[in-house]
Amino acid sequence: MITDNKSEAHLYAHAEADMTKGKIWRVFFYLLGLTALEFLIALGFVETGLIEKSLTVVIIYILLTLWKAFYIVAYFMHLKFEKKGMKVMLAMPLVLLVYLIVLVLIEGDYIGIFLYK
Amino acid sequence: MNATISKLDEVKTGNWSGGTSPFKVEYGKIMMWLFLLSDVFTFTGFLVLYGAQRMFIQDTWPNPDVVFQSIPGITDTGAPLVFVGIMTFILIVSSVTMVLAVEAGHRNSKKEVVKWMVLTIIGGLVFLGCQALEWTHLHHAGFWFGAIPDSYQGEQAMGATQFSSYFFAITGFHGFHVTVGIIVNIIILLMTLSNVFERRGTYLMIEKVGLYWHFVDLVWVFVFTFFYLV
Repeated sequence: MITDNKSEAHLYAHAEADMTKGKIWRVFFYLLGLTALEFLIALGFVETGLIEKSLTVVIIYILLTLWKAFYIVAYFMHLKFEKKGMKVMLAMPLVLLVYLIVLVLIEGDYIGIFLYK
Repeated sequence: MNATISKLDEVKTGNWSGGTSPFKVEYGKIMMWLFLLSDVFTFTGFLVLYGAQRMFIQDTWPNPDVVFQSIPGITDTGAPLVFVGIMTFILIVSSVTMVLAVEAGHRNSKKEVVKWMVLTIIGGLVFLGCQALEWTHLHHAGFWFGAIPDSYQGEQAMGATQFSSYFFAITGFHGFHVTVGIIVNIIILLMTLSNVFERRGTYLMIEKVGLYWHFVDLVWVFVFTFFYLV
């Protein structure tokens, strides 16, 4: 059994050498840039009162977060270079999460309105 | 008759009929991915609950820029986001050193793997240290599970209490993940040093713990947004 695992491991060990050092550092600077952008919005615009912390700002924050998450999952966790079956297997359950998030947030908001007004 | 049997006996070559693997990923790596998927569900459960509570009492929710405005040891007020910015930076850097360890593993270069793994572990420890400092600071300010400073009165107390409990629960759970990650990283480092992977001929284990470590970083990206920015 152990020998089997070993030979299997050998099979995949050198199948993916596509993340070169240069690429890794480039992704690092993307992540750093996106984080810096978030700080710019938070400290440069919202904190100084240039723009108000509205729903639009929150949506921008969330989009930047998802963008960062994409870089981490796709390049650092190497998912972009896996086979399609693997990507689909991992992405499909997340559809349910989106559904959960939308439902629960609407529900939370509704109860709030109900109590306060 | 003969033709039918030989057709049944034909070796299948398709992706989903047993010919080749549809995932083409080593067993342990698939299992790590599936574990992480289940962990995604756990953290989403926490964050969704947090979001629902925050929608529910949005009017009295404490302003994060007011709560998190200190740099422990330097200043107590007037520096929102700076300290957590440093923490985020440290975690991203330790994630990068982890990928570099994986990359070195692909080249079977033990020396480099050891170097990057040590840096990753140091990054994790520094992050935990920062988190401990922040927790201590907030605790001294009066925040704790179910406890809030006296400055929040009446209706304000409701939002602040929820905020406080969720903050410690969720960042605590994340910190627990970081702690486990550091322990696993240390184990892997020791295995590398004692030539276990050298003898095995492959550094795939580095990739598996790497996946876990990146996941910790991934969760922090979301925690950072929803607790500190929004």
